[in-house]
Amino acid sequence: MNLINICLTALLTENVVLTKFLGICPFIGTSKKRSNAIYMGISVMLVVTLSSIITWCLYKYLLVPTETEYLKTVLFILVIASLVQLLEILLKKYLNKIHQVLGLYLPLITTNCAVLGIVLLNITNNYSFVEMLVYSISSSLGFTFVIYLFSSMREKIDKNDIPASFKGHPIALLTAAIMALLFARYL
Amino acid sequence: MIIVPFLLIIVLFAITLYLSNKNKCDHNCDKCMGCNLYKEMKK
Repeated sequence: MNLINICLTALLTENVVLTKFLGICPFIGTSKKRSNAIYMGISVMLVVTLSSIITWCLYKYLLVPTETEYLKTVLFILVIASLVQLLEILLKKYLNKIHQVLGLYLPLITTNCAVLGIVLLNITNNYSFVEMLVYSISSSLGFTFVIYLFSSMREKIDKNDIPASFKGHPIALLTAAIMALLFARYL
Repeated sequence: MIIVPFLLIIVLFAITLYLSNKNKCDHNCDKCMGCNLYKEMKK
């Protein structure tokens, strides 16, 4: 029951983008097209899951025993950065087709604060390994879900006749605000 | 034992630098954000 609870809250009511306001940059930047949004989402899911596993193990088995928990932020940033670079090389070498699709978005993930946010929340919430895995996957799935939903709306909004002063980012930010109210259960 | 996390940070930093240097774009790919920014700056 606890795992379902973690999964649903991470996916909907405590969505990483719309309630914690992490990863706003790719949320606005790569949501003009649905295809871009879905590729960004897949890349984030891949990196978040892998980096969560590595950082959780490093924290539990290295930082806690040596009482150097204060190093977690620096260590996690470096783990994410090196993981993204490594993934890019591996995808380029072995899965070139996927690299051609995701290649543009992978380096952007290094600076995506949603990744670092999820990784740090795993530690702050003191999750067990399974809980951490469920939380990471569902949070990144929540990110993908929201960015896909937002890009679908933006594609439709762009085709509509809206006042010139609202075109582009203003209407996108208003849409995001209404979505955030819905996800936080204010509407 | 306390030195291990510090060593790991240095090693990870070196790995990140090495890998990012290996992945470095020659500003000619027409695809990545870096290339587009580079072209904008050159204009």
